[in-house]
Amino acid sequence: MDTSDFKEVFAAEARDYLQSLNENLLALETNPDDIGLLDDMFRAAHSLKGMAGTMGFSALADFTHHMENLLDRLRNGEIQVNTEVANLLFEAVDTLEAILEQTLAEEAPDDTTNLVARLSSIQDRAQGGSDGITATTTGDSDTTVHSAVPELGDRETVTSRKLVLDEFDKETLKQAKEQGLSSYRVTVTLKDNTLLKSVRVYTVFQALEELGSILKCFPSAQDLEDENFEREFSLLLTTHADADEVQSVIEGISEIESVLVAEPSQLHLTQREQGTETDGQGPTALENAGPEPSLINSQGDGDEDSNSNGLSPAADVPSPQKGGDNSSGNGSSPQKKGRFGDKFVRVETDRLDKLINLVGELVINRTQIVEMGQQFDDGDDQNTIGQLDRITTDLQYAAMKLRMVPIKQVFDRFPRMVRDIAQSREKHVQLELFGTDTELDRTIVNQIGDPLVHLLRNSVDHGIESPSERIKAGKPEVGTIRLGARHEGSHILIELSDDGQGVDVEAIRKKATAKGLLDPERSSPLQPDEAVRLLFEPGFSTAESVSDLSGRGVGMDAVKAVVESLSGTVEMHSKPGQGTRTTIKLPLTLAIIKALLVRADGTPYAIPIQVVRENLLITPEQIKTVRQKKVIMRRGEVLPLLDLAECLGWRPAEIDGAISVIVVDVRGEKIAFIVDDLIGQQEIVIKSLSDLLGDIPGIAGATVLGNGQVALILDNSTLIRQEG
Amino acid sequence: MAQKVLIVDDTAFMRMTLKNVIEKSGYEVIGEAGDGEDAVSQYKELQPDLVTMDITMPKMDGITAIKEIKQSHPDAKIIVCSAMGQKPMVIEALNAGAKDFLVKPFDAERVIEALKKAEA
Repeated sequence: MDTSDFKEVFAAEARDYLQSLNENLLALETNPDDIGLLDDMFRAAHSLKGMAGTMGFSALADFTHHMENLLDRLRNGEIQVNTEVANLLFEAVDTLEAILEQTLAEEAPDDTTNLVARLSSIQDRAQGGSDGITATTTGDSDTTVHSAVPELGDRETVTSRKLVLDEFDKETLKQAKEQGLSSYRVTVTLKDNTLLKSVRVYTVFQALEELGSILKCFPSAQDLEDENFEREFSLLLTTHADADEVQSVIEGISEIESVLVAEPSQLHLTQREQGTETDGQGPTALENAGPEPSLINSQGDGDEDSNSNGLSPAADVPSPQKGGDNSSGNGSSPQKKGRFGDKFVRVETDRLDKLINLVGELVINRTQIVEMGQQFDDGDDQNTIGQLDRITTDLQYAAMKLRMVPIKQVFDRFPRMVRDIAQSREKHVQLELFGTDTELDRTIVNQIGDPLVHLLRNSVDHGIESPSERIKAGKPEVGTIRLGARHEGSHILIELSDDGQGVDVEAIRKKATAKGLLDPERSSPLQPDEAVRLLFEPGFSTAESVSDLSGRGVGMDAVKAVVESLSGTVEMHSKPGQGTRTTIKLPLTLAIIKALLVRADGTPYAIPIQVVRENLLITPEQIKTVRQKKVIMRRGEVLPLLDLAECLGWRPAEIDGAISVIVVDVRGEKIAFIVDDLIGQQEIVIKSLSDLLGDIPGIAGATVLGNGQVALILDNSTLIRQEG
Repeated sequence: MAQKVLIVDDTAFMRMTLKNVIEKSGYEVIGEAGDGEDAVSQYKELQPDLVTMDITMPKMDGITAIKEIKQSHPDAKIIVCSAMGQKPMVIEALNAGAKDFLVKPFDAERVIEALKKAEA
């Protein structure tokens, strides 16, 4: 099988599993006794291991295997969840994530020897033995990792051939015999290339359940369901039917290569396996420790059977009658897949972008056709064109919806992050998330993460006080940060609030004065909102020390810059002692924007409407010169006056008669531009310039107007930097 | 007399492929249905010996169709057709009474084996 085709699906699904591991782990910290969470985690790790194995990613499979072992012991209550275990699991999940990404990028995965040793050591301590750990810690990393992989494989094939009965099984067999039932060991070999092996096994079980009852199967039902076997499996059947009947029922099923129905005692002789395994740890080692791997009880000695007692899962047989329920117990992933598989399809983002781009083209053509149609005043044509118009508009909205993703994607990683920061700061913080299903443009979702991370870090670092300070201030010991998103008209509001100490006005005053942002002579007290405004000034950062979190030299101004590049705004309010609230307002989509169309040197240009403050007509006399630069006065403000065409490298407009001027305001910086004239305001579909052209300073993209003409979209922040 | 087969699949291409394989092996394809509802009504009308049933179809899915057919014709011999990732659905179909399953893309030999085993 060529697995490369599956890599993308694998990657997406593996990341889902990692996310669920992370979420469950967080939940586990608060509810260490919740076995359900551990079950979910175990299954996630198990599925991940299986997937990685299928893809041939041995380092990933191996590491997941170690994690799965620990999770298995945790969910069985053999080891208790404590902070040490939780931290180790967090570290393991992180490492897993790293290995996954490295594997996907076809890089050499990190060395996990140390972590694997610690994972084993926790288990060994619980067991009271330390044999396992010496095996994993000695030797260099490479040999350890590699030797571990075949060990895993060996063990699975060995167990798959084993047929060990425990006391309970023996008792059941005895009772069956008393009732006049026969027992058979049925060994089935599937044809080569059988697809959906597990389902084929299921049909065999289904058919046999009609004849009698299946006491046990090998490999375990879980392994059969996960297809952790080659072609052969066996089971123990008690039935009224005779061997020939059993034989013919199974032969009536498709894709069966061969069937062997035998009395249990005979099989013991014919199917005897050599104990070749050298596996030195884990429960299977105990199974293999006996003098011979007994297949069935009749001749087995008592000691060995009691060894195996309880180690092979007893009630492990899938029952066709309750197939659905069965899968929920034995592995939620296939069922989960089915449930979500119905509702969602994974699509490459490139394909999506292409579709949206094409719809954009269609919208433009629609506009042209509608304009053309208006020239012919024919009722029928108008009707058809009107319909085309409506359908295209619907299609456009539908396509826009495709770009929308829930903000959950960004929020999901925050609980973990806040936990980590809070722990390193020795603070108690709880993060509450709201409106995680709120949808917004994928481009925005992809970019809003960093600013939010920064704000959250600030809240934990500077906002929330230490537990002792909080108690002193009469607040609950645990600080609360609330992060939510909601729709408001054609905008999305993201609100982040904390119940911390608010911004430290005094610290800001000192810092701002030192940085020359504030007049040192100033005597009036600084108001909180004023202090907040200073925070957003470029180059301002309140972090006292450069911690690994806040204060990486990127301050609130960087947050503001990102938000504004997404055509959004950010506001912050702070009340001393009560907390800080930050509100980010973003447009729903970036693909269509409202723009003001202007003409410069005969060519149309589009300017995003939200930066346009006003447009005016001036006379040449109103243009003043300050330090050899042209300016105009507007409401007491001196605005630099530039010629748009000139800025873009074209012929400047003639200064004569009434001059059209637009005033733009980018991040508080106001500039007036001379243009030929204004065309008007309209919604435009943004198209990026092709790779051939690359990034052109001052140009954010292009759009095609109704008349087919191309207009470049001006990126004002770039324009200002160019001229500043 | 040749066994009569009803092919149910929402894509014409798949029906064509299956029909080709099935007819070459001496079966008679007496009907083709494009969705579950169509399958149920054609089954009642044509009384085929064997049915190949796709799972994912518009109007009524294959599993519901199997259940409906089985309700009025408990002896109906239905082979469910699925794609690789549909394991839970195949199991559901088997529980609903499908005799066997086929996995797409179809292998001609497998199709015939399934028909032969189901007809027995």
